[in-house]
Amino acid sequence: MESFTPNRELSHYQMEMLLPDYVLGKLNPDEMTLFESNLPRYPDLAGEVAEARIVFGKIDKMDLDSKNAYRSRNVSVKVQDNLGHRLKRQQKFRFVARFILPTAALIFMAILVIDSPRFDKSSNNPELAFAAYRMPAIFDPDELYQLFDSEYEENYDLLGDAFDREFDKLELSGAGQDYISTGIISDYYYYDVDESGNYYPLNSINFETKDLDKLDEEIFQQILEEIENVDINS
Amino acid sequence: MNGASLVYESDSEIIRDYCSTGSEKAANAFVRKYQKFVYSVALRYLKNHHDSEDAAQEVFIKALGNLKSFRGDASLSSWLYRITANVCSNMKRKKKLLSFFGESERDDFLNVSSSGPSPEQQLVGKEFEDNFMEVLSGLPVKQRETFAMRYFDELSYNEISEMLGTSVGGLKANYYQAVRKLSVALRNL
Repeated sequence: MESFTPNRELSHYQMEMLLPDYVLGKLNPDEMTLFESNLPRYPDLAGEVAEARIVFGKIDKMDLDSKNAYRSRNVSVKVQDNLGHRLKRQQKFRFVARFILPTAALIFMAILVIDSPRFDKSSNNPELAFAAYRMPAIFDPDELYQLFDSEYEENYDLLGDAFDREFDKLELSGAGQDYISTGIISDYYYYDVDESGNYYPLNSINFETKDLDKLDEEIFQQILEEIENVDINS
Repeated sequence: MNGASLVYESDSEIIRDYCSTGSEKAANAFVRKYQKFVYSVALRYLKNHHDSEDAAQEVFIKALGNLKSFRGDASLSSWLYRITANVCSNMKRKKKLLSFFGESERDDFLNVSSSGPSPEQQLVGKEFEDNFMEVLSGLPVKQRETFAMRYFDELSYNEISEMLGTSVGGLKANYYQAVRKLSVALRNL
């Protein structure tokens, strides 16, 4: 609080600055004496003091301070609860961050590696597309059975020649034919055994996987389209 | 401020204990000492009991989380005041946004007398109290805050100056204006 020279005259503005603290009893004795000695010179301020005393007498009785103390009484309990919950959440998060997230990341990376676009040509894989290409039209099933059951190499050669002939019938146009001639695409034959124990010779188009990298994606898709459009039974 | 600071004699003791051991007792003492102050400031800004209680919680959680960084350049109350003002203005922005989407709450600031078992409640007319709250909330922020901190919180002009960033002379002028407006508005009730 500022120091005042006793009995000096205060301006109207200086009196205004002291008025609230005077009404509410916050002035020190010197300031109070100074204010009271100057008050008679300012009847308007004397009127304000009287008015403010009445109004603030009522405001004091409202005891808002106690009401706020009452209404805020639970804050400390709630803060403690909140901190407790946060601590638990942090512990959970630490567990998740330490164990769950790295595991999930590893699994995710593994999936990415296994299922990367480089290997994701299964849907258009010509081997799969042609895996069901069976050749009963060339051989009688009984004859096939004998051929595959036979240990004689010449029978395999016979089977291979027959398959080669079929492959030659596949007339691919454009890019596909080019790659047949370079050996990137070739025929591939093998056999399978069904549930009843019957042999099934299968023929498929085979890409030399080591050469697949040499193909542009666009050309690859073009070749697939060509192969898929071939009527294999014709 | 609330005198319920348990066994601690000063703020620095509370801060030291909390920062060194994370003591729950220190945290509790800290909150209990300032909960009324923070709640009252929040209520003046937000004019709603529930929001003010939420804001007070958030203020203390932030304050406890940052107590280590409190350097003691200003008083703890002025530091808390600044956090409270920030939290409240954020909440007000959020409320404004929610009310834009049709989710608004009614202010219960004017209904502050509806709870709290004060015996004086019977003596003072509710009409006067409602009017007081209405006039107070209608004052410019600096006048309202200066009045509330000086009258209710009994803070010194220097402390208020630290919190509001206004000169002591400016605060006195604000205080006078607030008292005068309240007197004029409430004199006939």
